[in-house]
Amino acid sequence: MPNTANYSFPTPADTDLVKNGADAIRDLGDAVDTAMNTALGTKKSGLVLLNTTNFTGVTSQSINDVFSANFTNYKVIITLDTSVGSDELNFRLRVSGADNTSANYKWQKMTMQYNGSYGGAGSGLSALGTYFNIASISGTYSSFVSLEFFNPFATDNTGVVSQASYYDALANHATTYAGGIMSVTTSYTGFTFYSTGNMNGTVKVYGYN
Amino acid sequence: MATTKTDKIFIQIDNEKIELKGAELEAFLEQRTKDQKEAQALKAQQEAQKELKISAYKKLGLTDEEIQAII
Repeated sequence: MPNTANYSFPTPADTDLVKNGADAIRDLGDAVDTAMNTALGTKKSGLVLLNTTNFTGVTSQSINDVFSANFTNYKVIITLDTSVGSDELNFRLRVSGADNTSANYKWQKMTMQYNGSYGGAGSGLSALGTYFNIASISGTYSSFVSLEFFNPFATDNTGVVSQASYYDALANHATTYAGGIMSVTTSYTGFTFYSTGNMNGTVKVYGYN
Repeated sequence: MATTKTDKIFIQIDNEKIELKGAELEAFLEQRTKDQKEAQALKAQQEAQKELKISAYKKLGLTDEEIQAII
């Protein structure tokens, strides 16, 4: 009986009898099941790509149904090209296709930059806000944002940390470090990020095992 | 540059790009106005903290140049 090239799954030969077809299919199914369990059941990948979305000329990008019971924590990578204006990138969590726009967001952000000398400034709301303002982006060069959501699907407080690298309006490189937490214990299935300018770029979402 | 009010507004939900019109556009612009007010309140808070720091440094005897170098 021949086997497949990559994972040696058994397959019937052209000359095998048709009456043995059911047996052959069962053997193939068992082999695939064993291989899948080995790859995903006992040796799970640590970081699993769940979603890749490209966007062009939009002021807001929403990702639905990416948080689930399959993962506790998630990593999000956003890359933006030069088309967006120097701006803040704000985030909201969402469920059932709608953003949470209530005053449930607590966050702080530190911006560090070099413009002839090192400088830094912090920001954050003393009261609860209606979005996370946890990344700044450039209107001149590409911007890069990496953030992690903790417990978004659980009925628990969702946390977030982020880093962003970009050139500011004066062409000085800047980096932001930020974090935030929701004051409510809502289960969320997705998120939205938005700017006042139009954005071109890519967002990727990974689940952590 | 920021999208102006006269520009078309596009959002994207997953892979679907949507041009907002009518009631949806009005709701979006209303939410944006609220967001901008929130951002302005934050900026005012930051400016007040910055002025407080400058005042404190001046009391310590730092020059204007020295203060700008460290804030």
